[in-house]
Amino acid sequence: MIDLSRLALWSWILVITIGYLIQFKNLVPLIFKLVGQ
Amino acid sequence: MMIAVGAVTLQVLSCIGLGVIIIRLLRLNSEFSRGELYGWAFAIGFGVLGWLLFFMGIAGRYDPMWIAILLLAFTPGILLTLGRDSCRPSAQKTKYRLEIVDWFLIAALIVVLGMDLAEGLSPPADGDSMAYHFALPKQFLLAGHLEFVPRALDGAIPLLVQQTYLSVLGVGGERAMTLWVMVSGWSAAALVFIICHRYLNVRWSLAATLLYLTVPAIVFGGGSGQVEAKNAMFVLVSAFALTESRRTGSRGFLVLAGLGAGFFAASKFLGLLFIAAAGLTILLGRRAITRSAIFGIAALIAGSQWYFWNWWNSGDPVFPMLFGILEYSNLSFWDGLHDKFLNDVMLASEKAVPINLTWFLTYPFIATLAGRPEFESMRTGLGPFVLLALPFALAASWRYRYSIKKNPIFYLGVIAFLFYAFWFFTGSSQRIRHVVPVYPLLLICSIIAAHRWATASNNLRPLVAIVFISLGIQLAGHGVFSANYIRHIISGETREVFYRRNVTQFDPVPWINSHLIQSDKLLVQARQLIYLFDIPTYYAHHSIEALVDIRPGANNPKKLLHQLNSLGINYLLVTDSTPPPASVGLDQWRALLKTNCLKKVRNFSTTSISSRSLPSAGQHPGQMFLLIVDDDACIKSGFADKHPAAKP
Repeated sequence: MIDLSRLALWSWILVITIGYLIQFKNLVPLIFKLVGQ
Repeated sequence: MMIAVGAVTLQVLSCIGLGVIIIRLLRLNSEFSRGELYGWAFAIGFGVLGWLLFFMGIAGRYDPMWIAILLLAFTPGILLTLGRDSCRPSAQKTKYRLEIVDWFLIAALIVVLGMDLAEGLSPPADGDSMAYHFALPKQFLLAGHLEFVPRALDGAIPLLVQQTYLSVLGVGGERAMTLWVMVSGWSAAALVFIICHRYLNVRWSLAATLLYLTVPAIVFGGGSGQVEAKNAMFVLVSAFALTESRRTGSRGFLVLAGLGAGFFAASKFLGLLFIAAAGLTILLGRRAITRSAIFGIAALIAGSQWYFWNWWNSGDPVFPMLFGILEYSNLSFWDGLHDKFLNDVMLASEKAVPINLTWFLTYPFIATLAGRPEFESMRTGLGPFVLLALPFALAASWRYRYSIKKNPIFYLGVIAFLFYAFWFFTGSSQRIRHVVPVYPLLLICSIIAAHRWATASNNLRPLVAIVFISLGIQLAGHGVFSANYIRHIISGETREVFYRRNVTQFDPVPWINSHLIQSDKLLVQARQLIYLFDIPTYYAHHSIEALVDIRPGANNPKKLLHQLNSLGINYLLVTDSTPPPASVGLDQWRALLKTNCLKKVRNFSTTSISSRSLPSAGQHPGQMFLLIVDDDACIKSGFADKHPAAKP
C-alpha cells in the first residue's frame, strides 16, 4: 500500500529541487565554459 | 605574509581574550564547555573590540602602534580559559565514533575552508567592500582618527564591524584584512555547530555547519567586507543567550543577549529591528520589565555610540532617515532635493514588490524559486535547504505542539520570524541579503525540528536526501565562485593583473596612483575604485551625497565648479559615453570641458566586468577621462569669479 505522506514528501523534494535549479538554466553554458577553461 | 598571519592571529587571540573576560565578569563561564567557550568568546570579543576602537578613533589614536598595544593588552585574557574551573566540565558522553559519512562531511568542510582560504589570500574585489567596507577603514587610518563621512547609506552609518578591519589593516596590511574577514566569517559557522551540537550529534551538526558555510549569500559575503556574515554571529550570540536566560534565569545571559543585539545595531541600522524583535520576545515572557531593562541597557551600551556620533555630526542619529522631522536647516551636506531623490528613486527601486500580507507570506518562496533581480536572491540567496525542510519542520511543530513552547529552539524561530516581519513591513530594501543575519536561526530551527520529526517517525531518508541535495547544489556554487580565486593563487598573477580581470574600470588606477600626489584630490564616480586609490578622493553620487550636485537633471556647471573648489577637488575621473549625453547630471563636466575650465589629462580604455565568477558572462569596453581643473581658464570662461582658496 502506498504511504501517501511519504509520497507527498518526496514529491515536495522533487518539485522544489527542480524549481530551484531551473532558475540557473541560463548560467549553465557559462559554467561549462568556466570548467572548460 | 608572515606579518599578515601574525596580525590576524593577534587579533583572533585578542578577541577571544576580550570575550573570555566579559564571560567571566558575567559569571557565565561554567555554562560553556571549553570548546564552546572559545567560539562564544571570539564572537563577543569581536564586538567589544569594534566598540573599543570607536573610542580610539574619537581620541585620534588610529595608529598601528596604539592598535597593536590594544590588541596585545587583551590577549592574556585567553589564559582565563585554562584553569580547571574556567568552564563547564565535559559531560561523560559515550565517545562518538566517526563513520564514513562523517569523514565525507569533514572532507567537504576542509574543501570549503580551502576555497574560502583562496579568497582570503586574494586581493579584495567586491564592489561594496571597495566602496566603503574597506575604503573607510583605509581613509580613517590615513587620517589617524575617526571621520564623519556625510554620505547616506554607506558613509554616515554604524561601522562597528569595519573598525575591526581597520585594526587588522593597520597592524598587518591588506592581506591581513582579507584573511581577517575570512576568519571572522567562519565564526558564525562555528556557533552554528556549537548550538546544533547541543541538540544533534556530530554528523548532523557538521551538516548544518556545511549548509551554512555554502549558502550562496555567505559564499558571496562571508569572505568579503560585507557585514551580514559578521552580524550573523551577533544574532546567534543574542538569540542563544536569550534562550539560555530563559532556561537558567541568569541575568548574565540577558546582558550577553543585549550586548549581541547592540553590536548588531552598531554594525547596521537593521540591528535596531533585531533589538525590537528580541525585545518583544522578552516583553511577552515573565518578569518582562526587569528583563527588558537589563537587555535594553546592555544593547544601549553596546550599540548607541554610532547613533550618537551621527547625531553629533548631523543632528540625525539615523542620518538621513529623519529628514523633515528633525532640524536640518544648518546642515551644509544634505538638502530636500537629494532627500527626495534618495527616497523617490534610489530607495524606491529597492522595493520590488508591494508591502502587504500576501507578499509577506510569499516572499520567501518567490525569493528562493524565482527571485526578481531586485531581491538579488539567485546568486546571493539563501539556498534551497530551508524550503526543502519546511514540511519536516511543520510536521515537527504539529507533533510537538503541546511542548513546543518549552523548547529553546522555538524562540530562535520566533526571533527570526519577528525580525523578518519588521524588516518586510518597515519597507526596508528587499534585497535578500539583509535577512542573512537571521538565516542561521532559521537553519538551526529547521534542521533540529526536521531531524527530531524524521527520527521519531522513522523517516530519515528524505531528510538525508535534502541535506545532500542542498549541499551538492551549494558546493557546486561555491566551487564556481572560488574558481576565480584559486586561479589567482595557482597562476601567481600579480595584484594588478587580478584587478584588471576583476574590477570594472580598474585601468586608470595605476597611472593615477603613480602620477597624482597627496595634495591632490580626485573626484570619483566609480565606487568600486575608491579603496584602490592612494591619494585623497571624493566620491560623488547622484543621490547619497549632496556636496557635489549631480542629480539627473541638475544643470548648473558654475555651481558644480564652486562645489569642486569648496571640497579642494582638482582632478576628476569621469566616464565617457557614446554618443555623448547632454551636459546635465553626471555629465555636467562636459560644459566645463568645452570652455577649457576642465582640461583632459589622459584618456583610459576601460573594461566593465559583468561577473567575477563567470568571466564568459561578458566584458564591455569603455572610456574614462582624467580631467584637471584649470583655475585661470575657469575665471576667463566666467564659471569662476576668483581663484579658489588655497587647496588643502
